[in-house]
Amino acid sequence: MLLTELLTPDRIQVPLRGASKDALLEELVEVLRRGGYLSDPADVLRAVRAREEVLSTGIGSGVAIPHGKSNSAPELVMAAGVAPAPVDFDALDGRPVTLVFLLVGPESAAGAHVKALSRISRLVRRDALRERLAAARTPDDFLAVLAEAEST
Amino acid sequence: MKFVPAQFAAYMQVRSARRNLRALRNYVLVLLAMITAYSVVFHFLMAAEGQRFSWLTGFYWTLTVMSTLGFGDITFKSDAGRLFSMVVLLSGVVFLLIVLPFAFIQFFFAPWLEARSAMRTPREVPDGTAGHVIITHYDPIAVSLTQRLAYQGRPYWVLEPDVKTAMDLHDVGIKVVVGDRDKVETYRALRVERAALVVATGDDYVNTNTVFTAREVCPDVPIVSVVRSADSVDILELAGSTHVLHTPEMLGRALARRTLGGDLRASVIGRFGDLLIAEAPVTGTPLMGKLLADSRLREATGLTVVGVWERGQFMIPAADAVLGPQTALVLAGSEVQMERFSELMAIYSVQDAPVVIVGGGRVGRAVARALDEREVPWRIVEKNPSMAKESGQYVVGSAADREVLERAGLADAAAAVVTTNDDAANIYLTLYIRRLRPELQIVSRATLERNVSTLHRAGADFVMSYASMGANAVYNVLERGDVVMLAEGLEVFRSPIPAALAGRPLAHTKIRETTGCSVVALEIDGEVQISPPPDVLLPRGAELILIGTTEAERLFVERFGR
Repeated sequence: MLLTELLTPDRIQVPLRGASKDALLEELVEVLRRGGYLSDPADVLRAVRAREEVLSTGIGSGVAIPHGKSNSAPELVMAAGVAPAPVDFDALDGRPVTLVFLLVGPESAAGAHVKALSRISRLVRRDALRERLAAARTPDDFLAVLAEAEST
Repeated sequence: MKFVPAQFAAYMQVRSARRNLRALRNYVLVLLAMITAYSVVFHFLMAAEGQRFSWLTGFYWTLTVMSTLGFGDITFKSDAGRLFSMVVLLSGVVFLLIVLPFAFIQFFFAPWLEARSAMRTPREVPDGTAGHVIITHYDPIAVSLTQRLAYQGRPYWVLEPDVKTAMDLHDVGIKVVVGDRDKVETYRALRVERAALVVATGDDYVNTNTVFTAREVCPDVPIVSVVRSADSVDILELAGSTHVLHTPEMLGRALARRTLGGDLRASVIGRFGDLLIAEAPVTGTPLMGKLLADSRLREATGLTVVGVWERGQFMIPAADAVLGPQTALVLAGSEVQMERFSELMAIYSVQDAPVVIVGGGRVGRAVARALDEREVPWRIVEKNPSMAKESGQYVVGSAADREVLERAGLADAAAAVVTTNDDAANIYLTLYIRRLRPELQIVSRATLERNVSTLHRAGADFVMSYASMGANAVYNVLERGDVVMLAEGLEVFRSPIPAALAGRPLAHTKIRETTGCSVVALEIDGEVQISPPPDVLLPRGAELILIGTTEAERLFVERFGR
């Protein structure tokens, strides 16, 4: 499964306005709500926050991959955004975060959920890709860069 | 020479031996009669010459002449006496010096030696043998299996067609029966109908024949076949094997499970009903540097950490253990809990770099297949161009050549897996790769169990031997799948609650203090309770699932029985 199948331009927020970890989470959940992908956004936000409490999803190098499972998200969907001013995220390496990918899905999509998470994480390990994503000015730019990276 | 009486007894049991001894006895009687007759003639001939000697002197003279000793202190003067001396002398040469040694060797010594070697290499198992394991070839798996069976007190017999090889095996303490693997009589002599298990450990062709032949004698004995090639699995099932172990595939998967690369999901290594045992490394996750007690793993996932690996050393975890870069967790829990753990860990320390697999044989390719399933990239280094597939994932050349390893991407590889079937080569290559990349994770394959510790010393982080993995799998068939081997010498096993412990609280059983085994779970009526609290009363008829080293397991069995 390709990430670009989980992401559409209407789910990409460039730039993100939130100035804190929690504000970023709320902002991306809101993006999904607007698109009509969630039946109960508050419940989804709760699941994402609960996950964040166990271990921070700031995986280092300025990337965070918050995620959660809730049946209020009827199918596996992703939202992403670029924060122009890096935001503190309690990341593994302590560095603030620029790229945020939010993944939510129902309890039943456990296997696909893990695969998608692993895939995002693998892709954003490439330094050049992170730089190009952070430099994207529009959702279409962002998606085009991601699609190109996935096809190679 | 303490075996002489036993050998003599064995010798006497052979019918031909008694016949031989009778012949030997008759010959000695004839000889004695001849000596007596000569002594009497001597007496009268001497008397005729006017010389007087005692009867005893007659025997004395006869023996000195017959043995050609000829002291010459007593001699005949007459022609008749001298003629008689010549007759005695010549018959002595023939009967005493030529025929006697020959008869002794022919009728006694040679059969004796034969009986002795026959005792070392019997052609059938003793009467009354039952519940035994028949092993058709003494291969590396059989080496480990026979040790294990001897240890558990289970009788076994190794089949060997060559008498000389059989004798060598007998001399190192292996119980062996001589016979051809493709003869029905052999399996009758092995009492296959009363055996607990037949283990076919030859190559795929020979095993097929062996299984067919054994099946002819006994339609319902369980037969385990060890196969090398995936294509042989069906064939050996058709031939009549009840279990077919595709060992290179199993070994490849076991090695791949311990290989870092891709993401850090928990890899399931064993199952007890609904209880799963899995392993997960902590390097690169937020767990690193934390105390196990602070990891909150249990609250977040419901999983229990039943052990930790620290640089290849297994330990029962203490709450104040610090999780380091070399730590791998051994987890117990349900499928859903494992999934939760994977979700938690899937985003951390994901590696894009390939795993370098040394050796493109069956095991190496099985490692690659298992890595493919995890979407982990790999490169195989293979010396033999005909074994290498035409793809960018194969690098042809010797792994002992630095340039070849560099072409395979060793410089920034996620891990290296050494898989050739030559232990000496694996030890060399492990050491070589360790020198090039001091921090890299190296997973090595051994063929023989005895090379495992050498590979650890050469710098491997994880080693599994073909022999003990195969032996464990066969043993599981025998004992109905109750043992999961986590690594060399470390197992999770199941035991009914020993009578001595039934009804007592878990904390009072002192299982850990006295045996070194740790209780992972309690199974009551098929319901698995993971990490039972110390005050739980052990119900009669329930089962314990324990983790421990082979030594700890032995102590448990010794102390509580099975």
